Amino acid sequence: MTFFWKIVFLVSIVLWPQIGFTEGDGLPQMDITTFPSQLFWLIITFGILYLFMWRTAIPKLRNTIEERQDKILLDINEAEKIKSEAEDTLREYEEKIQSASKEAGEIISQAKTQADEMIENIKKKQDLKLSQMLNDSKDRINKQYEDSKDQIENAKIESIKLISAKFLTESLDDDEIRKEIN
Amino acid sequence: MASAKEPNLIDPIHQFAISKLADIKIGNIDISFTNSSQFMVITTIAIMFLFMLGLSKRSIIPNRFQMICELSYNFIANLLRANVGEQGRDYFPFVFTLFMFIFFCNLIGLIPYTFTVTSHIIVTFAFAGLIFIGVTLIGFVKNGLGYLRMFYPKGVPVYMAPIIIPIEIISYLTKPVSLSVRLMANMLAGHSIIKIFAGFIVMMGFFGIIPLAGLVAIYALEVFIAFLQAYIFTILTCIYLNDALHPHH
Repeated sequence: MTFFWKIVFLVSIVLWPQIGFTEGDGLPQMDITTFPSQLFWLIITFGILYLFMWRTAIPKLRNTIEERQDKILLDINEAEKIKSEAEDTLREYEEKIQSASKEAGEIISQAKTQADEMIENIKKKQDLKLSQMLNDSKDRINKQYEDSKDQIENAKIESIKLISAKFLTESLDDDEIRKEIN
Repeated sequence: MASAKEPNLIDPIHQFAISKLADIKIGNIDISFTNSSQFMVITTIAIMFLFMLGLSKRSIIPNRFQMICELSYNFIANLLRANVGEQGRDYFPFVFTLFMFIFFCNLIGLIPYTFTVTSHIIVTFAFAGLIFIGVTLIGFVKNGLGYLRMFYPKGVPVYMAPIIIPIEIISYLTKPVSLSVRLMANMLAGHSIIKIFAGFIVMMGFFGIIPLAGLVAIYALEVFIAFLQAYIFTILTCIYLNDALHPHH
């Protein structure tokens, strides 16, 4: 890039004599005779532009910008209102969920205790039945045992009586035999 | 005209010459309609046309032209608020018109075969003089004779006063000169360089591509300068206005 500018500079130096400045008149900027005209037209054009800006353009622009700012502020306020409403709803919903879950827990625990009670009752009943049955059968067994004991004794006595009858002349009494066995 | 004598020569100053389009005289004063007046009128109409276009259908969501108007409005409003503060609101129409007028004069002047209104010292000096007189009047109206305190800043020892006060007065009086010459000289120099480079292109034939590339770069720079000088003129106006409204800073 510096090389480029060097070339541009060299070209300018070489071609410098080709530049011819306006001779005699000097700079047009220094020509006083044109001053009144320039001032006059400058005042007119700038004055018109100033009036236009002051009276029309700037108030309109200011209104537009202010309207927009007001609208933005309103929208922001509305959005904040809606947001807080939504937050309230969310809070309510969460509270409801919490109370519902609490209720459900209560119901579950109640059911559990009920079920436990029922199970306990059934168990008790069954135990009672079982013990009754056990006692009954025990009694029956005892009775049968007693019965069979008597029968065995009787059979023993009978058989001893029969055997003794073969060997002895005198028949034995039942009570004597019983005494002898026991 | 030199170019009339030797047609091959480049005359970079010729573009600034003022030619009469219609002779008008009031008494002895010549207020003819010239090419300068013509481009003042064109500038004014261009700005008014842009704003009418931008403000015809005002809506919350702006279209392109409305966007241009609002951007320039906000640009100058922020400039004024940053440099002058809330008291600057009253002077906003003037500052805004000033910026738009100078900016459009500079830009329209960059189109080939046009005339740059702001390249004439009398135009820029009229603006600078108006600002200088206005700012001085505002200073005296708002602060009374206390405005003169500005020439003797606080905290300066008494024995420095004979030096400081003349320096301050001179620097105050040269404000309009520097303001007007800066704008006019920038326009004059930029347009002269463009004209010279354009002449080189023709002279060098095929190799004119080298100055052509330079011309494109300089032209881009000139578009930037057209904005920059309008901006500088406006911001200096704001600063002078601030000095008049708050002289004790």
